[in-house]
Amino acid sequence: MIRLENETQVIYDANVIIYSLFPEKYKIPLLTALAKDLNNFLFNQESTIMVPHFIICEIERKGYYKVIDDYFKDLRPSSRFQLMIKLRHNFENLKKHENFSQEYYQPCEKLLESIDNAFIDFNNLDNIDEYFMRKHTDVLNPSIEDKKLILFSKDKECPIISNDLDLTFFHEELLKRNLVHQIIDFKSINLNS
Amino acid sequence: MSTIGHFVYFITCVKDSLSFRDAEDFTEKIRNDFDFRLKVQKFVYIAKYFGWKHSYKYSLYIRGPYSSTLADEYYNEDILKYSPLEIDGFDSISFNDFVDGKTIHYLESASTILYYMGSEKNFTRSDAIEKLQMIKPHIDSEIVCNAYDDIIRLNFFRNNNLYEIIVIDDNLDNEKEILLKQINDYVDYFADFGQCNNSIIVSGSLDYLSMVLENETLDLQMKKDLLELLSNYVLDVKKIYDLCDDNPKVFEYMNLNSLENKFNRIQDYISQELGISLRLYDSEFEFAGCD
Repeated sequence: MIRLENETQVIYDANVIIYSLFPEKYKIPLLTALAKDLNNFLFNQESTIMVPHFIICEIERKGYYKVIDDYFKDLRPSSRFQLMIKLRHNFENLKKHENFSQEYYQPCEKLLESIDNAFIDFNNLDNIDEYFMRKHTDVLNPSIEDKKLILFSKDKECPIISNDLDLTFFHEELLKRNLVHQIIDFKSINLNS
Repeated sequence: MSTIGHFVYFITCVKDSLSFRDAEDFTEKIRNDFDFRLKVQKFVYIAKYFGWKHSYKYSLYIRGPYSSTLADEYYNEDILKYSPLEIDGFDSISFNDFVDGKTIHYLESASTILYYMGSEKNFTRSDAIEKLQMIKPHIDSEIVCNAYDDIIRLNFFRNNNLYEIIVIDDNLDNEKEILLKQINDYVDYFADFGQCNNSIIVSGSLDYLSMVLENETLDLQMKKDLLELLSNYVLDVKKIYDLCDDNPKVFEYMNLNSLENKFNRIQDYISQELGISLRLYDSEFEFAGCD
């Protein structure tokens, strides 16, 4: 169980933000409650939630679709749209919070290349089949947003909170190579005192 | 024949009666003030009887005669940036005398009475009271009487040819079926195309319009207006379809703000003027649930 008492600032990945935006009627079991509790916990201890601009763009371009499609597949299209309107509205409110900080960050090509090379090497890890099995894939291909997020964490010396296996599964390896500050698996967070 | 220039000229002539300061204030009120929009609708309708032979098509709705073409025009935020074009024959002084200081209920009554007088011969004072009490119980009968008496005094109907009889197309049901099929085909196509937020915007808005069409029980003229409006929206979706050329990445990065704004205006019309359904934005709107 990971604890967050000493963190003055954390970086959020897209899904962690989106989970917290769902209305009560359409909450995602466990995840919405945990994400809302996490926001409250961090804001109450005056920690800053940092989100780089490319993650905001990702949410506003395709993030809502992905989560709605994952958890509300059976909703008819007009209801999906209505739900997305609600999520967008709640996100605008979250952005206004004084401890929610939007940051511009653009890593150089050389740094991105170092992440690319690391992930090429990860194909040879002993436990890579476990990743493929859990991810239901046969290729290791993290998104450009994932790669930038890793570098952003290193640059800010600040932990990422994510539930994306492309990040959490390779946490130890990325740390060993000194490419990331810290990656915290969202589901492993324990907020109980 | 009416043009945007005529509309701008008209709005400038009635600025004081309509109570707005400048173009910015006009846009602000159009955006946020339902009563103001209602007033513009009634002013333009009544202006026909003061010499402005405009071509806005009006149908009778819950709050009196309403023109969706006119609404489309005044929702254009830059409308008052167009140059005014004088309206030949429009008696702005008499018009302002007639409408100045009048309440919304008075304007609603007067325009509705004019609407009936245009289509029914010998529409009497008691017909006006009876009919308006039935469809507008929120309006005091004294206001209806005043409006009727003012209209008679001005003798609007000495030339009965001012009013055009609307030709009703009895093929509307076929048109509706064809439009519904087009909408539903696009809903299916866009629901997963691109797998992005734009997929939700396009398929969701069309699905809402499909529900509206399935539930409407409008009279023929109102149905015709609605079909025209929705066909226009579907044409915009078709343009998006053509632009994407089956490339999901192009679709994912498209800015659909103007389509969403148009959809919002259609929702306002469906909700406030037709009373068919609430808007998706309204908290009372019930999720339709699972398929």
